[in-house]
Amino acid sequence: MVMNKKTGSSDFCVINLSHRPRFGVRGRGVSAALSDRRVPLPNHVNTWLRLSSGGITLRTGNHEYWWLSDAEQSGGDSTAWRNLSEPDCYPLFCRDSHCWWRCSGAASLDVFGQLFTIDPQRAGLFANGFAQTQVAHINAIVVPAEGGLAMGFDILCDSSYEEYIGGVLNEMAAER
Amino acid sequence: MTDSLDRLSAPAGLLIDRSRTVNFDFEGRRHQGLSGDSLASALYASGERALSRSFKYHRRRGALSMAGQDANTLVSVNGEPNVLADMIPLSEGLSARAQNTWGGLRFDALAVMNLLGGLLPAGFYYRAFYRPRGIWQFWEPVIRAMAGLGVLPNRAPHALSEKRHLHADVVVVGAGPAGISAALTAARHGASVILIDENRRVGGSLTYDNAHLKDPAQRIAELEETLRSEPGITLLVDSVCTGWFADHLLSVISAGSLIKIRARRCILATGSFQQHLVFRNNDLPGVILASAAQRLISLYGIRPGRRAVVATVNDEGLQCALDLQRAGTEVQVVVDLRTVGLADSALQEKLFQAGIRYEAESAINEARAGSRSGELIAVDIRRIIAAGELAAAGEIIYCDLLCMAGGTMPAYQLACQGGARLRYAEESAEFSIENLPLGMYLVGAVRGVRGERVSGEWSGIGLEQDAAHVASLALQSLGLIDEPSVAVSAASAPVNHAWPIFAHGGGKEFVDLDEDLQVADIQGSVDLGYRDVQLVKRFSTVGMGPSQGRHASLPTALLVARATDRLVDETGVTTARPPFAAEKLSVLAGPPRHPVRHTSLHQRHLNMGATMMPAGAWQRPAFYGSPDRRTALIQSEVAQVRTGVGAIDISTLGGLEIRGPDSCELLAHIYANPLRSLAVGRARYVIALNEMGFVIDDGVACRTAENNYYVTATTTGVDRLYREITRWNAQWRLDVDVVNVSSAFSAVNVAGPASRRVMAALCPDLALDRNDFPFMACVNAPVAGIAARIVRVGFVGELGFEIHIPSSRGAELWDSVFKAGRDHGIVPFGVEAQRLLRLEKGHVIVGQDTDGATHPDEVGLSWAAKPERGFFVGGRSVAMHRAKGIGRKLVGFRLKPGAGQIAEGDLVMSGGDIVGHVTSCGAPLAGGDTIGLAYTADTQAMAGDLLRLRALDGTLLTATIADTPFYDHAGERQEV
Repeated sequence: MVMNKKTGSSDFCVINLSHRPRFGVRGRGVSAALSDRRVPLPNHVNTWLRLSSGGITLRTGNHEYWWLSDAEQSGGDSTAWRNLSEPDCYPLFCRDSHCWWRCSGAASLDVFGQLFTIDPQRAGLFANGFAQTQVAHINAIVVPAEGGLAMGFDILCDSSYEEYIGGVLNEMAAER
Repeated sequence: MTDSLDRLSAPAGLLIDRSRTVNFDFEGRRHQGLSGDSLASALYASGERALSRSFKYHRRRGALSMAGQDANTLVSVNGEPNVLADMIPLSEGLSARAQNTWGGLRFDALAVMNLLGGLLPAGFYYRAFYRPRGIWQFWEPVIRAMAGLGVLPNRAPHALSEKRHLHADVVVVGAGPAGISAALTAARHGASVILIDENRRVGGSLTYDNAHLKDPAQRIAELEETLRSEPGITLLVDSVCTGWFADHLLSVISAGSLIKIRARRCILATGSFQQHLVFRNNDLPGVILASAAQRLISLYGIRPGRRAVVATVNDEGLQCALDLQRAGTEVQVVVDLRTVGLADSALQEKLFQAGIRYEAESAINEARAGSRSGELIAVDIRRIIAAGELAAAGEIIYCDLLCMAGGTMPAYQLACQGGARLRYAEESAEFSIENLPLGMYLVGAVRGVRGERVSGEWSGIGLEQDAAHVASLALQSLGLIDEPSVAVSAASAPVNHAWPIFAHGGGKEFVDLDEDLQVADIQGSVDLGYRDVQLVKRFSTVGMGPSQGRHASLPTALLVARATDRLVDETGVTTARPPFAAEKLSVLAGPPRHPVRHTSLHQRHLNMGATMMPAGAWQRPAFYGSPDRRTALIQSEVAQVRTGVGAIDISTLGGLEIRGPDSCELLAHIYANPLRSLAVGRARYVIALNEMGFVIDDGVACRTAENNYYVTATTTGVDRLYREITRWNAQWRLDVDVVNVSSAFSAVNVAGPASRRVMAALCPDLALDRNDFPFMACVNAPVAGIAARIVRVGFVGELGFEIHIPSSRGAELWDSVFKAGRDHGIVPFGVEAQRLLRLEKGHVIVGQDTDGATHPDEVGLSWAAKPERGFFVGGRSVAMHRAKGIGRKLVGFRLKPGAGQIAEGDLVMSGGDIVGHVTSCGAPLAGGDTIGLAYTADTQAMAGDLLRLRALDGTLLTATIADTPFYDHAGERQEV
């Protein structure tokens, strides 16, 4: 798939960010290990936190965190994530296991309603929340844009479906 | 056909634009309507009242409700069957045809069925076509050809529709006065609201029963503006709510797509259905509901007739008569079933002032049709002498329009889909709805609240306040307000008559117009013993037509109650189930999205000319090259792996990372094989069983560190295995982390006698000889500079190396493998070659050579599953099955060249009994036997025994059971 190239219109456009750095860790010792490295962590599952040093942290489980980079190349914060050697800290492989699509534009909320069954209000997507749900029959993590869901959202899903989900999103973009 | 009717001037005609004409044709005749017309209204204005023929007797039928609530208006539009003519907006060039005709609407050859009515009572086919034996085979196609609704076009274009999801605090179904009041109340207290209405304009009954409004159009426009300017309200018009599902999930069909609405509270303002009266010929074109006449006037600006009779059981009929008179229709008489003194006195006074004759305690005995037109020309009115009985003589009144206001039935369907119950009050002859599901509320007519009349005019007093009060209850339950608003008295005058049914000796008093069911059909069903209304429905099909009992439920309930000497409340009505209105399958299907998985090498395969095939959701190369050379290409790939080296993309294999102090403990219990003894750096073939002791998956477990395992699983079985492992892990409370890495890793198997040389080029620093890197060893080492996990396995029966790397580096690895293998003649090979190669080795594919009840012993895996070695999932069951005895066995077989064609799925026979089937078989190698695996009875599973195979075409073939593997029995080639 073509990376980093927007398709669609100003109403709704899609960009593949799968090349961007991201990292995931989990295990009972992860929260303590990251806190020891002064990595701020979201307090609740299915919420995210912006890091002053760049990127956002998602709390995807009681003992699981993902870091998504803002930049094309890994920022400084990834070091803290990569070098966890404590017991009960296990790296995930989200760079390889998940693809990453960004959707944006004025029609984002409308497209969201076509793609997702969840209630964005109740899922907390208007308040630093994200959802682990399904999109077009496959499992996905959907993270609203920092400006709000009306501005857009990111979708992270199984990398083997990258082309499929890209096709679905580009179809949506083409309709607008 | 009657003469065309003049259009009325504004304010009549809320929906039409008089400045724009629209051309269309019906039954091959050109017509002209106005923009905003429905097909039915445009035809009505043109004098075409008949739209279709009835289901059974092929009687002419015209619109009954003008609101999409009856099957009379189902026509074929531009080839699409079963379109409601009173709901579809007219469009330029629209072409429509009547349905249920044989030769056309006017001269339908099957109209003869109307004369045979006495021979065709309800359920006649149950009792007529079973004797002599076999006669049904003759009659079935005849009946099928005559029955049905419309004709499906064989070449209909694919219809694509989207699905959408909406959410709200409160959903209100019905945008009439009550629904609007509820929606505004909810929104103004901070609730997010979705307001749904099936009509093009909001307002409900205000759009047609609006004599009390000075300027109805302006009032409707004001309502719409109010709703649209309310930020908390999402308004969906022209949208039909077809179903209520648990937790207030509503299905709504809007603009040809399905909207699924999930709300926290659901307010139904669905109103009520005006009922028809049951008398002889109550189905003639020209006999319509009073509300239909009002809709023709108010929505389409059409004078419904020249000379009218109104038959009524309530004040709605009186108001209709006044509306008709105002529209220029000469109203001959208002026939009121009620006794003197029950009608609204102010309305009666208005009738008197308008010069309209009023007859209380009277009813219609019969409507009469013109012999040529088949449409209404006169009615016979008579005095009521007892419930359902009329005087022996009456009065014939000539008219071209008969309007019926036969009472109301609450639009109960959505509420009852949610589990609500209908109760019938004998004193008011009305149904009410109770036992609503939590969070569902009723407002307006569906709740029995219709608003008061003041000086003969409907005022809405009580209705809107009651709706606001009910909405406030919903708001309180949501925590949006502390106290609900004060309840108001919302008593309404009775609208129903205890017995609006007048059986006639000549029949044709239709209870259910959809199914052509008459009074005698319902009574006859009861006489045959079907005393329960549900059984009456199933025997007679009453309420099973497209209008789903909107008009048939009430008279059916009355008739069954009387025939069984019970109360209506005891008989009830039939169950309401979704959908409330017809839904197209394409709308339910939504967009054709079939998730497809690609490996990271997908583009490489396409570049190499692979013919792809599905494997579960994955796309995999079947072989490389053109499909027309399939067999030769597969054989070539097989030969190259046997003699040189080949590479296959095995990224679709499932992969699980098992990490943590208890990982050995977990896997030792999950897999049947002993794993505690597996050393770090070694791999072992493993099988997983379910609790019943049946094989559910297999793979290779690699111990990559003391507490780390990497386990492969089958392509289609990994998700199930992952679920099972995580379930057991939680249940056993072990300290293990399990992660499904199937998509995170790509993998390539380099196999063949020359594979070690290719690997040596890829991993110059890795010792690869037999002693340093033996069969079933695993190691983490760079391959072409990419961090990789290498496993020595032999699925295809040759020296082989599986290379597992992060999927983002997959394409890079593939390129490196082919670069390194170029001098050795490396070729890619696909799934077909791999299957043949493994078949030669006799390796079982779980899911293909096993089914949901395969015991390990049946497929030669008894060596792996030994319960005596300790606990593993399914072990106890394995032992029990083993003690009982295994009845079948998977065996290898050979079929001599020329002995015939055999395919997977073909049967294994023993005498006349089926004892198994072929699970795998291979395309015959040049000059060699066809080989395969098949289940057979345990008693005939010895090598050399004959195996009787039955091919799909019935041919019986004889194969010979053979020892497996068919190739390299000693395993010398893979363990070098």
